[in-house]
Amino acid sequence: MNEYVTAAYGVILFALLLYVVVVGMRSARLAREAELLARLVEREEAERDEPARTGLAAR
Amino acid sequence: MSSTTDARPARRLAVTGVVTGALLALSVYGVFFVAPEDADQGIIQKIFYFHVAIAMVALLAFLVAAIEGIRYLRDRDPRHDEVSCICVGIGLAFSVLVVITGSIWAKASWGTWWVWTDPRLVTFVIVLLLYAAYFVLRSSADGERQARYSAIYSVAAFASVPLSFYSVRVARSFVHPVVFNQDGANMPDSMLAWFVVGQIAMIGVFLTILQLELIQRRADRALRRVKARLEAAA
Repeated sequence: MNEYVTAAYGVILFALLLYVVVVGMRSARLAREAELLARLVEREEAERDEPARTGLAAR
Repeated sequence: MSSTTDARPARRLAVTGVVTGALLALSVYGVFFVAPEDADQGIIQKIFYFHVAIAMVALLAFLVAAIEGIRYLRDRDPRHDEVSCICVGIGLAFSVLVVITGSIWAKASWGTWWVWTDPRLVTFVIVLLLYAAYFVLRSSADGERQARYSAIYSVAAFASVPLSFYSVRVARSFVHPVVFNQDGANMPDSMLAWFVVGQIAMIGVFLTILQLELIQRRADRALRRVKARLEAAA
């Protein structure tokens, strides 16, 4: 195939792949943030439950 | 308040993505293995199918951006501003692709990467630069002002789109060919059919990217809301 045709279609394919990489990186950031928030919620719940449990044990 | 979330955007994205992928594969097959070679340009003419389809979709994206800009100015609904901004981004990215693929085609066909005397090429670059300035303007303001300025700019910048579209017809371009005119398409049906398939596939790419961006922004907003609530509670 002609090198110019290959170059033109290669540019389009490269742009599509680049976009997939960008979306993948953004999704990874969202996943990281969601994980962080989940851990924060779990820690807060654990801290809330802890005094209740220690209070019961003291009684 | 419902505890379930709306799954329709994800389903729509899946359907659009699958259909677009199938259409892209079909159009690449058709362009390279079924459509006849151009008698004048030979295999180089194959660039035309995606080059023109991408250019049309870039202009379509700018049209949607302008319509959403008008809708924002009327309703002040931030969702319209969001769609308008995404469409300008897609249109800009597609315009860059048009310029690159066009330059490659020009080098193969005319022996030069760029012709500054051609009205189509120059006006298209003007459109590209105008829409690049959209993001400069957008980054200079915040909140409601950002959305309002962006909406007004997206509508005003759209005036350059017909200028680019008709420049080649009015100025009687010396180099850039006019494929579609008042008499219809200037090519055989066997080429036109595959061009139409490629054009629909490119519109599918535009819709897929638009939906993907909207879903990502929705997820980002939801995470920020949760973060803000947790920070306020701490």
